[in-house]
This record gives sequence, C-alpha cells and structure tokens, in this order.
Amino acid sequence: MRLLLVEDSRRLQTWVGTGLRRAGYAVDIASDGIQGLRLAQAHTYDVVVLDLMLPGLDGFEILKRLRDSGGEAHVLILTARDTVEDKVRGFGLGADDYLIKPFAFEELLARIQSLVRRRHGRKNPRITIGPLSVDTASRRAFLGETPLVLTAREYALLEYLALRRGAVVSRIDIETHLYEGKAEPTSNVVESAVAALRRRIDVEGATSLIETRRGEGYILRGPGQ
Amino acid sequence: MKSIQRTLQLRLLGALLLVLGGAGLGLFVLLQHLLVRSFDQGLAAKARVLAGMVQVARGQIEPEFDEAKLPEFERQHEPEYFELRTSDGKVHSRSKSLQGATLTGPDMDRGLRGNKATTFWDLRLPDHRRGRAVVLLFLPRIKDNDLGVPPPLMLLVGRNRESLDEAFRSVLLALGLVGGVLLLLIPALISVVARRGLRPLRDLADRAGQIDARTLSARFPISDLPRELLPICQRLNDLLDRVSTSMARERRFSADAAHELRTPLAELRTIADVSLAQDGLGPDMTAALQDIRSSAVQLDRVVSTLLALARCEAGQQMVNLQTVSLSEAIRDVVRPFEVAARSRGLTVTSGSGEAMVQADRALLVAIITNLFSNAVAYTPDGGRIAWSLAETPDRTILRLENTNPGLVSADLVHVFEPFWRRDAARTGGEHVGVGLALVAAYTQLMGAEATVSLPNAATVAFDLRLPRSVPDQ
Repeated sequence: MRLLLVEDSRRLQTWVGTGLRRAGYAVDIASDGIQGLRLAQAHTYDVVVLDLMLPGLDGFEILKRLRDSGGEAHVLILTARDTVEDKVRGFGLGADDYLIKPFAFEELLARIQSLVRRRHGRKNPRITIGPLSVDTASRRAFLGETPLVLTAREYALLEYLALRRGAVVSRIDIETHLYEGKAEPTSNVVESAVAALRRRIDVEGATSLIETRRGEGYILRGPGQ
Repeated sequence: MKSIQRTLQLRLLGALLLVLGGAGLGLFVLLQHLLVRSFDQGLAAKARVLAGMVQVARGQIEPEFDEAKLPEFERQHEPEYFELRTSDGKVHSRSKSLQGATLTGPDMDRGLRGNKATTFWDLRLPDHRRGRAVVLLFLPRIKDNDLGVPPPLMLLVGRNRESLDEAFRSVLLALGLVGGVLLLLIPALISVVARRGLRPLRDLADRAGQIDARTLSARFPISDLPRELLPICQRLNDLLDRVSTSMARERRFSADAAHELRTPLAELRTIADVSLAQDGLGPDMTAALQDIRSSAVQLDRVVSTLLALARCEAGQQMVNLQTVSLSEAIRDVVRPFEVAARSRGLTVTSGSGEAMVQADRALLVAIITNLFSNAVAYTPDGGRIAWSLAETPDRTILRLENTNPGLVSADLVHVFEPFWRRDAARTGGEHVGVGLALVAAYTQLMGAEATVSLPNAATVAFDLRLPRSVPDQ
C-alpha cells in the first residue's frame, strides 16, 4: 500500500513515516502544500494523510484541487484543528476521515487500514483464500489456525495481493504501491519478494497460492478458484 | 407591538375618508345650489310671463290673463298658483286653484326687505304639498299711451317642488352609492399599496433575521435599494464587516494557538508511540517512553481544556439546546470512572430516577465528565462518592457528593477558578485544576448553574442545576 504524508512538522514526518513504513506501507512525504498537491496528483496513492495548516497551500485547498482534478485517493485529515466547523468543511470537500492531533499512533494505523479496505471495496477485515486468511485489522496472516511469521514488507505484499484476490496484479503495480518507487525497472526486487512470500505461505508439495502470469504479473487465489 | 403598516393604513384611511367626505359634501351642496337656481329661473320666467299680461289703464289695474293659455292654474290635479298684489299688499286677483288661500308667508316678508326684483321661498301649498314660490316686483304696462307713473305691483307664483326634491334624492343616492363602493374599495386598496410599499423593509428584516454567527459573510444588497433604506443597510454592512473581521481574527488566533500547541504534543506522542512499538527496548527505555507518552497525553488534556475555555470567552462555542436525558448522560459518563474509583477503594453510590433537561448534549457530557473526574481524583483513598437527582418546579438538580479532601468554606469561592488547587503537592499532578473552570464556563453558556458547598465538614457537594425540559403538550 502506498501512502502520501503531507505534513510540515519535520519530526512528525520522520516518526509517522517510520511508524508507517514499519507497518509495511510505502510512504512518500511532502513537507509543503504545493509539493503535496503535485505528488497527490502525479501518483495513485491508496491513502493521503493530509495536515491542514501547511505552508504554500493549505490542506483544504489541496483537498479541493485534488478532488476537482478527479483524484480518487482516500484522504485522512490529520490536524490540530478540532472544531466542528473544520471537520464539516473537511468532509464537505471530500475527506474520508478526520483525526485530531495529538493522536495515538495505533489509532492512525487502524484508520488508515480501514481506508485501505474501503478503497478495495471491503468491509470485512478478514480475507480468506483457501487455507490462507489475512486479518487486515490486526495485520496478521494465518495458515489454517497457525499464525504466519512475516516481515512488514512481506505482509504488505500479501495484503495487497489478497485485497485484489483473483485479479492479476502487475509488477509495476506492486512496485509503485509497495516500494516508494525506488525499484529499478530491471531489478528483481518484486520477484524475490514474491519468492520469499511463497516460501512462507505455501504448503510443501502443493500448488502455489500465488500464480505467475508471465508478462502480466501475479494472481493470488485458492485452489480450484 | 407597533406596526408601521397598520399605522400607515389607518392614517391613510382616515385622511382619504376626510378628503372624500369633504368632496362629497361640497359636490352635493354645489349640485343642490344649481338645481334650486334652475328651478327658480323657471319659476321667475313664469312670473314674468304673467306680469306681461298685466296693464294699467287710467289708474285701474287690468290683468288680461288668458285662461286658455294658462291651464296649469285651472286644473284640479296638482295645479300651480299665482296672486297679484298691489304694493301695499292688497290682493288684486288670484288663480282659481288658490280657492281664497294665499301664498304669502313670513319667509316672503323677510326676503322682500332686500328690495330685490325677485324673491324666492319655500312654503306649504294649499293642497298641503311642499312648494316653492317667487314674488316679482314689477311696473305694469300703461295702456293707450296713458300718461302717469304706473304703481308697482307684486306678482306671486307658487309651484309644487317635488321634482326638485326628487332630483336632490337622486343626487344623494348617486353620491351615496359611489361613496359606499369607495368605502369598500379604499381599505383593500390601501392595504395592498401599503404592503407593496413596505416590501423592501420586510425583505430587509428577513435578511437581517437570517444573519447569525455562521453567516456573517452575508451582506445587504445596496443596489436597487430605496433611498430611505440605503443608509441603514450601509451602516449594517459596515457593522457586519467589523464584526466578521474581529470574529475571523479571534478564530485565527485560537486555530493558530491550537496548531502551535498541539503539533509539538503530537510529535512527542508519536515519537513515544512509534518507539515503544519497536522490539528490543530495555525496561528503562520502555518506562521512559511510557512516561513521555503519559505527559504528552496529560498536557493535551490541559491544552484542550484551555482552548475550550478560550473559545467560550471568545463567544465561539456553539450551543445547541435540546431535550437531553440527564440520567442517561450520567450513566454513560460514570461507567469508566467506576473502575478507577474501585481501584482506589472508593465507594460509589448511584442515584436513581429519570430526568429530561434542556441542554447541549456535548457540553453536558463534558460538564458531568469533569465533575466525576474531579471527584474521583480528589476523594481520599477509601472515601465515598454519591450522586443523586432532585427536581424543583423548573430545575433538575444533579448533586455529586464526595468525601472532603480538606476543603474549608473559605476555599469554595476559588473552586471554579482556573488552575486553583487546594494543595498543589497532594494529587501528584494528574489534575491541574482547569476542569471545573470549564464546568463553570459551559454551565453559564447553557443557562444552567453549578455551585459547590460543604453540607458538613466531611463532605463536599457539587450541585448542577439545569432547566427542566418542558414535556410536549
């Protein structure tokens, strides 16, 4: 999942960014309104975390222009402004969630996760594919009843495939949503990540849950689906 | 209440009725005068015709009334009358219709004194009809070139005046009809005109009525405005400009203050949260990060309360009064505090009963939360907390009692002041004493009242008096 954090406080950039990356998200950071709007319009983000009081362009204006230009990313406003008027204005301009600073980091994570689920049209936090189940609320995966030990990156890849279960996900998609655009076109970072994930989730000797479509990408589906 | 429209309507109606009444009366008098004059001219002409038939020969008056030409003086039914008199008043001759009666009367004598050629008067005719008569003073013709001055003579002619009265009645009827129609039309007309004329004023009032703290950006349109209302609207617009500028400044200040205070708090808290989630922290590091987080959380509570207080003082706190269940609000709020109270060995006694009050639900919950939080924080270990509801005819009273931590009656005046604490060292800094200040501010906004008292030396009692909700009829 790829997020954009538009925030002018350097410390919040660092620490919210660190926390989100550790949770397995690819995070781009903008430190002023103009850069924030440019990034939000240039890339397809799953969620934009937007501060309101920003140098350059304030959050409301970014939100308005983003929506006017057809931007569909889910937007979570993260701000110190706590009045009902501000909240109403934010939602009126097309925000999907509103969290007031200071906040518990866990709550921010849970809200972002909920927005990601909604982006993929799901309400149930638990996704089941054959013997595999992914709990997007607790961010854990299970094989049968056994919890799987996954790194945050591996989990993020699994969740991304699970949210689009049964559909082909291209390598480019995975790169842009999970790797902050750092991957070189020729690099095999996605291939090796998929290989690592297969080792974790596949039962010895059985067909892999992640099928490779040559030249197209990957598809996660249960046996017989 | 005074109404410009009603006053205007009444005055216009009064003035119009006066003008129309005067005009009607004047018209009637004029028409009456014209009718009488034309009637009198006919009467005088008849008299002159008769006078032309009188001549004097050798001192003798010789009337030559041609009976055939004057049938109106002969007939039985509604005849006319004449008399010929000498200047000393002696009757020389009279029409048959008079049958010995006379046309003279006091009105004639009064008129003759003016010495005019003709004098008219009203009288009762011999057949008892109302009539009008004329007396013509004239010099008769002298017959056969007879020399000498002829004696002046008087010729009286009387005639039925019913046709004249009939004309009067017709005029009166016509005027009455027109007047009646106008009486019906005028009030309706005035009402429509006044309503139309006052429409700009009503529009202005409607516009002004729609302005509140949220719609301060609205302005009164200046173009197409009647000249009389222009200065009012300009002044109102100026006033709105100033009010909205100052409101915007206040709002910006409190938004800036919130941002500047909350952003570093958010940083602190996020650093602590994210660092605590990391594996491999030693116990010392974990404890330190947890303390940082607690301090940030506590500081946030204080900042939030202070910002809320500032908003109350700047008049920016919206209050939405509605019917709220006080008992339900208390039950919702108390539950989490009961856990904290139990862990400190406090006895909590709950009240019973249902009570509906007029309040803003969010503000009410904040008030009750602060009152209970205060009670749980300050009641000494092993003490007791009790709440109960009571009702007076117009108020519902929530009483919250707890064991006295050491307040004396002199302290009570300070309890609702911000940052006041009985003993700063005792509570360990969890409470900084702004909660009750917010309670005071919120109760005031809702038209409620909060007081503190010491029913006995061992008990502190807070009373929250809220307006009772009036049940729908």
